[in-house]
Amino acid sequence: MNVLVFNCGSSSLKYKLLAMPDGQELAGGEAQRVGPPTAKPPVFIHRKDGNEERREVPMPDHGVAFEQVMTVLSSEKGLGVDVVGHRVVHGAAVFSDHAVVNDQVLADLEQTKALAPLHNPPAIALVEACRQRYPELSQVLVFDTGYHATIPEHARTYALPATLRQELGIRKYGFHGTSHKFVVGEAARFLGKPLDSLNAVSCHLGSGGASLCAVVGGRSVDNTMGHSPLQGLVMSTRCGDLDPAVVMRLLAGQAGNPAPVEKLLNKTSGVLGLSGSTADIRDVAASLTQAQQQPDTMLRAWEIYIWRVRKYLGAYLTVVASRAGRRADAVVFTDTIGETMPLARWAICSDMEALGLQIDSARNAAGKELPADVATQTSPVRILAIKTNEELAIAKTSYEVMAGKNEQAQQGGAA
Amino acid sequence: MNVLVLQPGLEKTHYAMLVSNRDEAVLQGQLALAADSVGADETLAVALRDMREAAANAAPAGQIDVVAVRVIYGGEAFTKAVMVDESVVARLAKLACEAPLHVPAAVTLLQACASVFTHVPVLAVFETAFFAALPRREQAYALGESAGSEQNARRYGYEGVYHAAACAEARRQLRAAGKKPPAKVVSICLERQIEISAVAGQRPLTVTRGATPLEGVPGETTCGQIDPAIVLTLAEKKGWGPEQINRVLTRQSGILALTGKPMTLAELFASQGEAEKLAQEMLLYSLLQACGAAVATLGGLDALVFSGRYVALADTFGEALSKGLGAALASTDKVLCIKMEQSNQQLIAATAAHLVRSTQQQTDQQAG
Repeated sequence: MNVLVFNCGSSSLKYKLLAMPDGQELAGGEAQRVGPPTAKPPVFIHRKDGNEERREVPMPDHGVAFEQVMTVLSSEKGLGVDVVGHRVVHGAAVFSDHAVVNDQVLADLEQTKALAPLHNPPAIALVEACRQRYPELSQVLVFDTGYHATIPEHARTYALPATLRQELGIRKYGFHGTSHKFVVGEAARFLGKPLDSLNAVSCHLGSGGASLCAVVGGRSVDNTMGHSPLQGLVMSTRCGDLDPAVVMRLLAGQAGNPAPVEKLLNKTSGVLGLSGSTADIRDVAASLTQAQQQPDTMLRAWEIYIWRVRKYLGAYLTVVASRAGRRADAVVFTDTIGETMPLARWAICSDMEALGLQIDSARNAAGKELPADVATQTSPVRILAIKTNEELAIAKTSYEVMAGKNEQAQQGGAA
Repeated sequence: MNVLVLQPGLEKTHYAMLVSNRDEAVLQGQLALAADSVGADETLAVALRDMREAAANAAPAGQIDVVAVRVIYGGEAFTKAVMVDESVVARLAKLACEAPLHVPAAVTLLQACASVFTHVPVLAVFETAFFAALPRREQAYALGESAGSEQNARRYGYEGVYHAAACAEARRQLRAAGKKPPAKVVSICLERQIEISAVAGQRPLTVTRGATPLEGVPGETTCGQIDPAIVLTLAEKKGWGPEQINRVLTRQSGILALTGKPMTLAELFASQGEAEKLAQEMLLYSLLQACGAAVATLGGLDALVFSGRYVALADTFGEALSKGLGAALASTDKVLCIKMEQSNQQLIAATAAHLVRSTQQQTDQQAG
């Protein structure tokens, strides 16, 4: 079964065609600068067997970009599409984990737009375009919030008036769920443990967003992101945790207009705000190792970024142990920073013996072949670096859902 | 020594006359002076004069030796308690924009005290002073220069008087038990909004509250930590301005919002209902996370120390937290739980008495 996985951004559309269940990547690519014209022309990139093909194509909306993908795939042999799997950022309280598109699901999706006005509308437009042009093609939606549906009430509730919480859907949703779920599954396999007995803290440290997830019995019990992806860790351009009174002061400074404050907290804060020059924590780290003297802002940005992760790691290791009644099995690092930056793993895990972490500097520095265990042999808690693969995770879910459906249909037919 | 302690609160200012060798105040009462109202000076002076007479009458030998005023916010300018004079008032007044709720009221009160107590030293005891040495990585928010510096957005704790005394008590007990310094202590102040600080030796490494007392663990009517985006959602979806949002987050949230009725922390933990249970779980969960984060920064844990007006809840919290922490910690040593039962009033009086005595000694030495 070939699954076409879409990851839809506000002005981009990434795709991958995977042969399931073995997960072999048949083709992939990306449509850039989808939407209204920009200074640079829109580009369509298609990759197959290590070759890359680039074309300038007008793509005024995601429907046209989608059509491009289908045209390219249908022009080549063996690239037929059996199912489409979509990454959808926000499932609100309506969706947990995944859904197969039908009229009801489309109607429910409309409700999620208010909670994720930036992320969900383009993905929904794509789903609709696909349904219009290929009504017979099944579509599976996989939600970033889905894995966090198991976060208990005391961890997802904010201490705000009940009427407000109900009216505006204010609660913790949690994000990066597809990635956390994937690497937690991989960690269980790597450690040879059944998933439902795995207790861990998963650290998704991306070049953009970042979040930690507390995992008990293979399920998410907390995530550092909250109602929106703004809460929690210091990210490339997002501030993470902030005194709500500071937000009110900023709001007062803008005559009560939330738009500029939203932009400030989401686009010019975080590593970028602290360093004053780069949004990439790798640049910050690189500058610290250079011989000539660096501005103090770089060291400060590094300290604050790492400190916040360490505090949450301590908090979640405690949460996991408290719920499970025993220490976590592993801390899992993933995504760009977590996978490729041994220095960050080292800075986060060193001097954490009190909570059972002993990182092995040699194994950590050498850990380029993933998955890798970078803890010392005697460390009570394992420290793993695992490559995330959200597309594969979405393809897997889509495949399992459709395989299950076919089986049901066959059984129904036989009866 | 006879110390008159003044503690400005949100609606009223409490006063109490404390004398040497007696735990209980010989006189206490309230002035109708809110911390956030810059009251008419004359009314305030009259009220203070009346209080002065009553306090002097209640005090042994009919005398007030020192007036100690609790000041919530002293910013980076005040790192310890000080004798109030004109320059102190002027320096404090400059901090008004950093803590608009507390500083102007404190300035008014200190000025009025100086004018009423002309022959008695007046002392300002700052709650933020203990947190002046917070490491910069803990102080800072991840904001750019433009947003951060204008707003003076740095983190403080607001129960410094309690934490300082609680940690001193913990160090004393740990020393007696033969523990090597520096003591690794998590100090949990059980006030209307619980505040937690990781303290290594005498230095605080973390604190749950932030640029204002609103952040951190939810309080009796305060929301505590929320996703900052929620504030923007309220502005956008409800059309509320910053003042209305502030009212909801500081006066209508926390335990009040979760249970639907006004109740104290002590009442909450004596209650049984569904909503009350959720609120209890949320607070304990928030405490457990703060303790876990504290242990990560301390690199270990020697003791939990409890203080604050609800210090009687120490056993309830201590049991739950040591169980959770015990499961996470590599060490199998039992987590020591310590109580520091003195009130904020008593601690301020003690600080004031100490400062007056050491100043006198200095003067005597210089004279000698």
